[in-house]
This record gives sequence, C-alpha cells and structure tokens, in this order.
Amino acid sequence: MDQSLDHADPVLYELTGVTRHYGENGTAVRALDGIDLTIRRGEFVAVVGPSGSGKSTLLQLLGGLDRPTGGTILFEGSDLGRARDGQLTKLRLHTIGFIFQQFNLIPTLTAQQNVEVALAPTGLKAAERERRCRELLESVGLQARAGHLPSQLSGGEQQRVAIARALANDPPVLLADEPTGNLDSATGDELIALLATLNRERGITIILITHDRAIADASPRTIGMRDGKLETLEAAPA
Amino acid sequence: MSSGAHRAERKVVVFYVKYLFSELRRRKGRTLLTAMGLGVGVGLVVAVSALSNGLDDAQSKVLDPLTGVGTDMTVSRPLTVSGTGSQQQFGGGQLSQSEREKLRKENGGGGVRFGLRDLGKPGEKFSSEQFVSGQQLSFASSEVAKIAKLDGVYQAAGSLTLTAIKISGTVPEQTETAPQRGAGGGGGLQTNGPRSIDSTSSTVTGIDASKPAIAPVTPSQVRKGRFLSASGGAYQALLNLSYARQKGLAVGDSLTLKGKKFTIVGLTSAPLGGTASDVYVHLATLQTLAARKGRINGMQVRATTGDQVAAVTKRIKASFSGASVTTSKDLADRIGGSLKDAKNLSSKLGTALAVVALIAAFLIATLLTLSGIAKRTRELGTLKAIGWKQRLVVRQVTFESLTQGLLGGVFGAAIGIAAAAAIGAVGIELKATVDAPAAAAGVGGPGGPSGGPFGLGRSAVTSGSQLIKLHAPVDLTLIALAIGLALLGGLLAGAVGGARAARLRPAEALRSVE
Repeated sequence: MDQSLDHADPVLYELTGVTRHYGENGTAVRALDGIDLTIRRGEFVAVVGPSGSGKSTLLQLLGGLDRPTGGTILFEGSDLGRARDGQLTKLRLHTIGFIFQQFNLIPTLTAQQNVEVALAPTGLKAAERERRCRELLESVGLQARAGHLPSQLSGGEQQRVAIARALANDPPVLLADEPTGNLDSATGDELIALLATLNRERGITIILITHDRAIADASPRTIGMRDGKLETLEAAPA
Repeated sequence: MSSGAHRAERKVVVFYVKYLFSELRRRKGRTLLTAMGLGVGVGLVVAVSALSNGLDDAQSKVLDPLTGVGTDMTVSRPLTVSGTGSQQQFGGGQLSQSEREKLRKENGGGGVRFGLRDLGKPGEKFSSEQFVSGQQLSFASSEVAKIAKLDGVYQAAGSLTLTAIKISGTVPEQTETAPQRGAGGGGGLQTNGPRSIDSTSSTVTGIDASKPAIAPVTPSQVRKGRFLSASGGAYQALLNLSYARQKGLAVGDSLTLKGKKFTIVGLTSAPLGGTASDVYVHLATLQTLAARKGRINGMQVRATTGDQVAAVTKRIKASFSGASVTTSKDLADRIGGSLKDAKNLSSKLGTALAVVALIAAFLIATLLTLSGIAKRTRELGTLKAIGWKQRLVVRQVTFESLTQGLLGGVFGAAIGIAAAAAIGAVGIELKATVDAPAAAAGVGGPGGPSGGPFGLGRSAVTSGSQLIKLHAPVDLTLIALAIGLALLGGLLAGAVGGARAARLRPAEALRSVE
C-alpha cells in the first residue's frame, strides 16, 4: 500500500481509528470505519476506490471541512476533531488548498477575481492581491484569460483557475477531489503533470482522489478504499 | 476581532462590494423581483401615507379658520340651554329663570328693550343703537392673565362679541297692556297704527390686535386692505366680506357704530366653519362703546404643544368656574362629507392595505432570499471551504439583501411619488361639510324663549360645504420612510438568509448538487 514513504519526512497527518458515521444508530451509514493512516509532508498520495467507498469523506476530514465521529486526526500534532470552528477556518485559509471535481468557481467573478476570493479574507492590500493573482494565473498558464468569466473558459482552464485559487495562500497541502473527473484525458494528464510539478518543485503535499487507474499507478503512493476501510491494492499489470 | 484584523478587512471592502454587485447582476431576475416586491409594498405605504397627509392638509384647510392659526382652545361662559335637538339648533331652547336673570344683568339689568315711549312722541322720528349679548356671559379681562399663567399655556387673548342692534323709524301710537302669559316675561307693548320701525343688527367683535395670531380673525384672513394696527387709532374696523358686499361697503369707507365713525381698513373672508362676525374692531374700543369696560366674553388660548391641549383644558375648567372650553378636536369632529369619509377610508382600509402589502413584500423578499441561498449552497460551501469565516459569508448574504432592499426603497419611493402625482393629477375633489353647532345658533333673547330675531352676541358659524382638491404630498420624510422600510425588509430577509447560510456545514454544502 505505501509505495514510496520517506520516513525521513515529518508526519503531516496521523489518523487513528477514524470513523465517520451519518444518521442514527439503527440506520447509520458508516462512511469511514476505522481508518489508520499516516501521511508525511511532501507526499503525493492518490486515493482510489469505488463510489461510496468513503474517499471524499476522508478528504473532507483531512481538510477540516468535517469532523470524525470517532478516532483522532492529528495534523502536525493537532487534533482536528477537537479544533474550534475558527481554527479549522484558519487552517483552510492558510494551510490547505482545495480542488474540486466541479471546479466550484464563482460564476459571477472573473478568473482573477476567483483567485482573489481566496486572498480577500487575508486582508492583503489590493495592489498586493492583484500582483499575487497575476503570478498565480501565470503559473497555471492563464494570464491571458484573467478577465474571463468561468463560463467563457474551457473545463481545463476552469480547473487551472481552481488550482491557482487553491495555491493563493501558498498552502503546504493540496487536497483534490477527482480533479480530472470533468476533463478529457489529455487535459487531465496536463493537470496531473502540473500537480506533480507542484509536489516536486515546491514540496506541496498532494492528496488526490481519482477513479483513473493510470493516475493512481503514476502516483508515488496510492491508497485503496472500500466500504469505508483502507484496502491493500493489487499491483497494476505491467 | 483585533484592530489589525479590522484594518485588513477594510482593505478588501472594495472586493466584497464588487462580488456583491456581480452576484446581484448575475441573478438579475431574482434581484429585480425582490426589489420590485419590496418596492410595491413600500410604494403602497408611501402612497397611503401621502394620501393621508393630503387628507390631513385638506382637513387643516377647513379646520384652520375654525381654530384660528394658532388657537388650540376657545374659552367662553355660555348660558345653559335646556331643551334638546333641533329645538336648540333653532333657538327653541329654554333658559331657566336664573339664567335669564344673568343675561338681563349682562345686558345692563333691564334686558334688551327699546322703550318706544322714551324715544319721542308718537309720530316723531327716532334712531337708537344698543350692544347686547345673547348667549355668552361676560367675564373680567383679568381672567386672560390668569389663564396665561397656567401650566402648558403658551398664549391667551380675550375678545368680546356683541350684537349691535339699531332701530329707527317713527314713534308709533302705543297703549300699555297687561302682561301676557307665556310670552316669556315682562309686560308687552301694543303698537297702534302703521308699523314704521326698521331694525338692523350686526355682530361686532372686539379683538386684541396685539395678539393677531390667536385672535378670532387673523391677518391671514384679510382679503383686502390690512389688519387692525396699533398705530391706526381706536376707530378702525375690519368687515366680513359678505357683510361688506351686502352693505355696499369697501376699504376706506366708514361705518358708524353707536354714533362713532369707524374707518374700514380691511375685508376678511368668512371661511367654512369659521366663526365670522360682521365687524371687527379693537377690543378696548368696543368695551368702551358697549359700556363693558374690562369685560370680555371669549378667550383664545394656545397650548405650548399639541399634547398639552387636553391637560390645559382640564386646568382651565378647574380654575375658571362655568367655563366652556372648545378644542380644535371638537371643531374637527364637526367636519363631515366625503373628506371625512375619505379620511376614514384612508386611516382604516388604506393602513390595513399598506400593512398587508408590506408584510407580503417582506415575506416575498425573505422567501426569495432563502431560495437564493438554497441555489447557492455549493458556492457558499466553497467559500467556507477556502477559508471564509462564517461571519464573512453571513455578512455577504446580508449585504446583498440590504442592497436589494435599498433598490426596493428607490423603487418604492418612485412608485409612491408616481401614485401621489397620479392622485394629484386626477384632481379628486372632496366635499367638507360643517354643520353649525347648537351653541352657535341664536338663542332667544331675554324677552322670551325665542324672543328675538337675532343671534344675539354670538358670531355666526359659517356652515355649509366646501370643495377641496385632494393632493398627496410626498416629502423627504416619506422618501426616508420608504427607503427605511425597504432596508428593514432587506435586513429581515438578509438575517433569515444569513442564518441559513451560517448553518451550512461546508462538507454538506459541497456535497449538494446545484
């Protein structure tokens, strides 16, 4: 399961017996059912598994968007399950970047403003925000599309804007929920290459959910999930 | 939040505002629907309020002359008239013996009598003039100073209203007869031969011209000429327009009262419902001519504020035995006709309609905002996911609603102004009718229960009807009310929407499908 774990890197996430149940006791859905997992800083981790296996729930717990029903999730030693809402908000603003399958861009805002959305709560000056937005859009190759609305951009371009937004506050962790799910394979490959570059060159920890076996196989580490539990993955055919 | 964080937030206000407007622009239909909903509700409130103001103005136009420009209360000492209903109105009321006695004293002890024998021998020409009071008892002028000192009284002024009766003709042959039963007291004179006696009467009011604002006739009622002046001498007179017309008199002409020549300095209108005398002169002059020095029979009082009227009325009654106090409200109650109907309709149906419309508008705004939040679940969840504080998300939603409210206020003000202009343009005319109160009708003189053809010593109330064109004035207060109410609607919708947004858990919000 752990294909490339560099034990020299510090532990970023440490999950112990994590459960996440929805609904009442009698009819509870066990989205996560006792997860033990360690992720180190700088890793590139692909999470694979069928629909309903608990991948997205795991990602949401890692991103502080949700709280576990049981167990502990330590992020750099702090228990996310016990953190206050304000602390989780701060964590999401400064430390974790999110990329969604549906891009989740704000349709009324231009590409640049969509990146600015993530910078606004930090209180940066307008000129500084503008400079930072330009840099980020340039880094994803979209400087020429800064003034376009999401509806005027292709799927790949929209996802690049979403990546620029996720990187806005220079987070050490990127969580991506099927980022290539709405892209054609060529665009998806480009996107994965971009994420790999960010991981390699900037040391950003990347945890991505994918259905794409090729992406999973290309990832340094792949985690399999089924019925809310981690599972040992079979090696891909050569 | 620290001051540093506040400073940081101020720097990004422009961004939040841009986001707000782009969101409202994107959802143009919903934005306009919400704003129009609020606008219609608020516009209706403005229109109804403007209409109500217009009706108030119309009523004031009728009422002002009744009350005098600044008079809140009129004090008098009327005789008590027994008898009821139409009898009173037509002077058929009964005076008790003691009241008749009072009135006799009031008019010099002997009542209003013209002893023809004293005027000359039969066949000789004669002319005689007397000032009499038919209904109001007089009281000392010093009461004015006492009333003026009462708490809540701003100003008080006295007046004296009398009837000048002039008879002239040839002294007839007379034989004395025994007193007649049921004739109302006193013996009678039986005249023989042709009736050759002319009698004329006119009401004369002496006013305190040093307090013109609360006098029975005010400078604003002067239609030609000028008001009585302090420097113009004792013998100046103001004439009621209709009286002047009837007598063929004009400004600059002269008028004789009790042998004194008065210069007519102005003509005054007799407004609907106003107590109009035929002639107005200086109070002191009339007191001298009528041998009533230091006496008045009416007092006009102005309270410091409108709220004080009821309390001051009580104080006056308590400190001044036998006083009758008539307030503006009493006078307003006498107004009838379509003006009163419209005012009732406006205050009842109009207000109910406005309240229902406003509640409906608030409900529409709130439901549309909630529906908008439901449609934006994923967007708001995304904002929370990328680090927006709950407070920021709620603020954004609330400000969007407030902006819609502001837009609704502008629509509402425009709708209200347009509706008010339409009311003015249609030119609806309302009829105000004022009936003469029982007390204003002539009460029989001292010679009998209806003994006399005159309304003695009392100004005549101008009864009848008046057409008033209805306007619906919209002022800044109403526009502020429109915007304020719409903002309140926006705030309410924003608060409900914001609460819904606050409850959104980011994980659940991101799971939602738009």
